[in-house]
Amino acid sequence: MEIVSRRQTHDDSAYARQKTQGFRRLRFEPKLEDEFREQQGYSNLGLLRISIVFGVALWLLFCVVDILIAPSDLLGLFMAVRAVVLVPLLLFAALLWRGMPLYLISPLTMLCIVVVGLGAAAVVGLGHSRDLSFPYEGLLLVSMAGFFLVGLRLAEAVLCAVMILLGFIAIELWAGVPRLQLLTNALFLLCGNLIGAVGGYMLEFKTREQFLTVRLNRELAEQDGLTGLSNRRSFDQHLSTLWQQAERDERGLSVLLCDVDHFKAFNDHYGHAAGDLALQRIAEVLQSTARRPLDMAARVGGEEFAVLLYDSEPADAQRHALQLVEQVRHLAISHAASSTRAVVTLSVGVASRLHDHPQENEQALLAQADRALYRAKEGGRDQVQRI
Amino acid sequence: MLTRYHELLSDIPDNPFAQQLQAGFPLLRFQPRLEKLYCQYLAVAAIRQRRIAILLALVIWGMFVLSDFWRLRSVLVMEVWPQELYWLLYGRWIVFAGLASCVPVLLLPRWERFSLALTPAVIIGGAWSVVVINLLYGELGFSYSLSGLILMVIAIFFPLGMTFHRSLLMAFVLVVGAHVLGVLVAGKAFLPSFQVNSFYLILAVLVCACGRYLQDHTQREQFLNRHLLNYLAERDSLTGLHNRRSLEFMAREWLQQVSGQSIAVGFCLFDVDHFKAYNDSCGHEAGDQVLKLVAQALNDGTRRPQDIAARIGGEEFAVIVHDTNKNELFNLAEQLRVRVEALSLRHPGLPGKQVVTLSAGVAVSSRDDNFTSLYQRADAALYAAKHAGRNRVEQSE
Repeated sequence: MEIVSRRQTHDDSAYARQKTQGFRRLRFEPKLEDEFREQQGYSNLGLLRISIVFGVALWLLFCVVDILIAPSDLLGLFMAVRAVVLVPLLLFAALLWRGMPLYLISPLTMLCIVVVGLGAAAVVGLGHSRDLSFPYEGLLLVSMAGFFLVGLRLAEAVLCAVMILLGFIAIELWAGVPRLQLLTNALFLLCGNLIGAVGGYMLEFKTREQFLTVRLNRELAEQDGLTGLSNRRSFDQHLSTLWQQAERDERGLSVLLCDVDHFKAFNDHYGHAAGDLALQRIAEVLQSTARRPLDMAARVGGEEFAVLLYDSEPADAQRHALQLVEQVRHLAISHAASSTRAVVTLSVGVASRLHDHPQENEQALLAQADRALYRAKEGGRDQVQRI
Repeated sequence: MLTRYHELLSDIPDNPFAQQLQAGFPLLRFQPRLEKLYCQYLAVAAIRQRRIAILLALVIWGMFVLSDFWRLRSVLVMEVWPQELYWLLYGRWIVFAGLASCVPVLLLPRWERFSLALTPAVIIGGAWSVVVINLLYGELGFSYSLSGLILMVIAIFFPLGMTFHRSLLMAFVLVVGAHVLGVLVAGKAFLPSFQVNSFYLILAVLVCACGRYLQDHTQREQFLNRHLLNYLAERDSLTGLHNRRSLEFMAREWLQQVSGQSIAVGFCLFDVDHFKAYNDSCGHEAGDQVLKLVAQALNDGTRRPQDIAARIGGEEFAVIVHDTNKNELFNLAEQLRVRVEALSLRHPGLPGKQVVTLSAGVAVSSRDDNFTSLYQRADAALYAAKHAGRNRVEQSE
């Protein structure tokens, strides 16, 4: 018998699958995409706070530059444009510090970038209506900020850059800039945006790759290598999380502690390889019991498993446990060395958190399940006991 | 989520990648050994980016070559071309030819290694030629702008395989060089007329450097995480030894290598005696601690770099040894058994010395062994050791 574990942890993970599939178009499958965007939303918040301070400071610096180089009769108009742009920037900054829904972040960021871009284009247009050598390069910096500094996705940043470029061309036409110069200037901005877009693609690709790797690492560290169930460490963590949640929301929480009967004898009789296979098949049964999002099936020892059922009444837990015992018996893995039955069987101890007078803590709950399991063993195995 | 990831990192003992991730790297510098590894990785990883960049540069520069004909059309029809026009066109085309000649460097694998060293030279050469060419435009009486330099600054901070620090240095060289060159070509009048351009240039350096900082930070994080992923995929999370998947992979590899040769692969299987009883009486926490210490002892006792110690089940461990014989392997297993016994970990409820002990079964590969048969023979020997009273090594025939 081959003892290659059938369950290759890597292939089963959505993150690993996405990694092998690739994401050249910068898009994950829907569920991962949502997860990715949510995480980006959180991590961009810090970046945006820095960027907005930086941006407002630069905008004010440009006011100073205006005073130095602007034609004096246009200075008033320039300042008016600068002030109008400053309003949404400051409002956005206020929201960033006071907190706002995550889904608003990227639209508002885009809005700010476009407003700043169009404001800058307006200033350039006004300048060009008097003096054709008025500098316009600042526009490119706005798009660059969109590509690299504010955490927009590539598609969003490109949209901003295109709107700014079109706005620029429209305003320049209004200002009566000669076609040739307009062409040269637009060409320059286009080249800059092209470079920015390619760089933005690379940045987003790296960020996405990074996202998948971190999530995959976490999964690997939390899984049991043989069965693909959660390992002891993540079980302990999850149990204490659920315990707190159950306390807060006054919901039920049950622990099913399971032990494979006479497993030592099975291993000695059939060999480790067969033992591993048996554990894998039992693990599949357990996994199917813990199907709801907050439930968990874990391998907590050599042949010991645990199932956490959240928001379940004691009667439900009992029913699930009975099903488990029956399903494992029905796997019909023959066990010649067992004194209980001719097939591999499971003993289960159940303990539930009580609403009226709950156990002291999650460890007490676990200890209760352990005692119940002991009773099941004493009572002849292949059965469920509860306390 | 991030805090949990950090908790995870602190559980990984002695891994330089995890340590670096935990320590952070705000200045974009790893500890020397990792930094070297990262630079090597970066040079290779960015080869695709350099290919894209050179094509992009060719396209953009080509657009400027074409726009020359349009912008200079009034001078081009003159009977006698002014000297500056020759210089201008030569300059433009030489750079184009230079860019084109970089293409084979990037496409031929044999020359690929030059591409990283060439990158800053190409960008800075291009930038300085932008200054000269545009000043020549000025000499010919055209309006001109040096905003092309901004594109070059963006290129310098492009993720082309240079580290952040190197890019920053190159940007400095580019900007200062452009000013010096401007003064040399156009005389003292250059600086005052270049004021606004300088301002935007420096702003561009600032904005692009910030972007590049973020990019390099992400890339470094990715580098560490990827190495960590490899590590996690082949290690057991509790003990840090190799896991079963990794052991099996290596053993199969070795057996394939030595097949047909007279070299043998040794396989030792260890099992902690009465571990279940220990767990039941002392609790899982203490049980884990014992497993960690046993793993440590096995790892310390397996000194040869090729030998691999692994945890392959709850309380089961294995050591595989490359190029060994029966006696040597038996002695190694015996040494390891003694080493664990010498830890004197108290195991109450046991007869005799009441310390944690190991039983071991060893097998040396013969000519037609595959992994499964070797494993099964070691397992049979382990079974024999258990039956012969535990805390001993048995070898298969």
